[in-house]
Amino acid sequence: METTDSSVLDTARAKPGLLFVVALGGLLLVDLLAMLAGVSLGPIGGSLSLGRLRSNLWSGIVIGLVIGLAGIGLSMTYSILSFANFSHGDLVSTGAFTGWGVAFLIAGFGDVPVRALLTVRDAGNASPADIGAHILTTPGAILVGLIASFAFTALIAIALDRAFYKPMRDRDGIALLIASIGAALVVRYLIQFVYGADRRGVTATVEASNLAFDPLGIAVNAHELTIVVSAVALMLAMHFVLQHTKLGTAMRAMADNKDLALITGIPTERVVTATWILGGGLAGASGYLYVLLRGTIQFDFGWLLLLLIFAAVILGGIGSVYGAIAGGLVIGIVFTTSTIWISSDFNQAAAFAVMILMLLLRPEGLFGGVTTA
Amino acid sequence: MSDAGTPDDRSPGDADAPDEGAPSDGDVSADGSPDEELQEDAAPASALGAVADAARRSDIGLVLGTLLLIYAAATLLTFTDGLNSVVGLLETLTFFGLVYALSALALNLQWGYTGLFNIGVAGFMAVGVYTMGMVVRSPDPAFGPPGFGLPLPIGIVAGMAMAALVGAVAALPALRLKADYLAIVTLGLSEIIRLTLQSAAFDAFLRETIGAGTGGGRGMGMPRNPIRELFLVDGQAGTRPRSASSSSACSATGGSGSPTRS
Repeated sequence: METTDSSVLDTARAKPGLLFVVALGGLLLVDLLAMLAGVSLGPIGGSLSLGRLRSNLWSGIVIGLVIGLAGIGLSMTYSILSFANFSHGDLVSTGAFTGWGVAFLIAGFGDVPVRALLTVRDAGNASPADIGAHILTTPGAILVGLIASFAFTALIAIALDRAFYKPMRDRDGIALLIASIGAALVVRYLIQFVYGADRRGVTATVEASNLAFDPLGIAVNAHELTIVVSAVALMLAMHFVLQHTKLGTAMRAMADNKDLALITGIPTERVVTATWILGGGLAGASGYLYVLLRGTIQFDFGWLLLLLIFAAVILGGIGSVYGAIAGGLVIGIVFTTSTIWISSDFNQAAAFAVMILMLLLRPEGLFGGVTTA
Repeated sequence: MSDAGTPDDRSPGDADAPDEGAPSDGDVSADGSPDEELQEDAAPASALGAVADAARRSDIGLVLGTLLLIYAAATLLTFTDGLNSVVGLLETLTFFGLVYALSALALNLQWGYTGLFNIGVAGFMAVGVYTMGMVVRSPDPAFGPPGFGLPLPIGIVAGMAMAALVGAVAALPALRLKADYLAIVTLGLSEIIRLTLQSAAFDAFLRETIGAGTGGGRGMGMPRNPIRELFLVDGQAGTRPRSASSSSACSATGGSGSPTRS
């Protein structure tokens, strides 16, 4: 008893920041419970329905899965190529635009000019209802769009690697980081050039697309369900690749120790290419799913999402794929449940604050260590 | 001795690292650090080598030379449109040159001298200019978000002080983090600043507590040329930017026109 007490005290003394965070977290928890119970004691408590909390948690999980999916690629490039890839967010946008172009082409072929479809409604004046892309009416188009987003983004990611990162392979992380900011700008404004700058709606609205889950008391949108199913499927596929294939073993080896991997005869360039294919493809797929969730698309949404993805990766520990998924879920839930306490203007700021606190208190992340496992 | 340490930490200037490491010219490497930011655009051909070398010996020569080159190019590009557009372009170029030189100096201080890679410089710029705007803007809410109506020099000093205060907060994690982590943290900090300044809730909160606002997502109108507003009348910062002929006294009385055109 005594030893645990003193060790707790020692930790508190050594890390006052940690104490502060734990105290703040406890206070918020007490506040949340008081709010749920409808008790009000001064600043503590208030009223909050259980239904609102449940729906906040559910939308947090959906956003978190999308962020985690994008975070996998970022975490892989971070651990295998050892640099923070700031162009990852624009790979997310690339996937969204190319994927939705293909999905529109299949959903609205014949009724709407092809140019309007491929540019995701930049040309022409077809409305989302004319094209009618929705998981309940055109499930095939949505699925093919998802695959296309993966494929196109993987291609773009490899092209970026060949053009920018391969000539700089042996440079240090900061030089590559700056190069990736430049690559991000190139991709972002190429997207703006091809697809236009305005924000626009994408998905059609369909009657009765809410599937209520009575036992849990939450209304689940058909698109949210699609996102959860496809994100989990992609994550499981990634898990299989990493754990049960030769490529995955080679990737984990390179993330762990690059020199040792080289000595043991791992074809590093081929592994790097595979990293870009998988990481970029997952980023593209997550961008596609994010647009399915939001229903709108804009040329720079990936860049705005990037810091949340970084937050997820840092939270889970850079280099850990499962950490990125878990970090994404935490960030997503912080993102949506923080609106209980603060104005929704600041829920993104709350997620960033969680990231900064994590870096300060536990830089190795929740799960720690450079292990792509 | 401390100078010898900086070139090693500094990654982008790899090209000139062997020059400074050369044992022969100890004098050059001693004053090698001040002109490091200027070597990025150097890349001298062998013919220009001598000129570049001479310019490198004196910083002021290099700065003035670059400035003259830019002015000459700007004049060449616009002289067919008449003297007015030439002078206008030179004015704009000088203004932006000075502004970006200031922020580049800030980054050079952090990244070049101490190796702290801060990519959130623009966030600190935003804190400075918003503070200045809130200090100098008219207290009358009819002109948009209200301010304190204080003279511009006070606003400038207040903006610098507030940005320095935020910098002190950013300095807390600076020494504990790896360079690329610090980059992400500073970017996160500047995003928090952007989200805060654009938030309508923060605007309302500020108006209630201190009586000045940020204008939320719509921002606040600022005079196009703050130098003309150095001498304010009744704290009125909202003179019409275009009409230079109208005196400031006139705009103070007839200010209800449309002074806050951003």
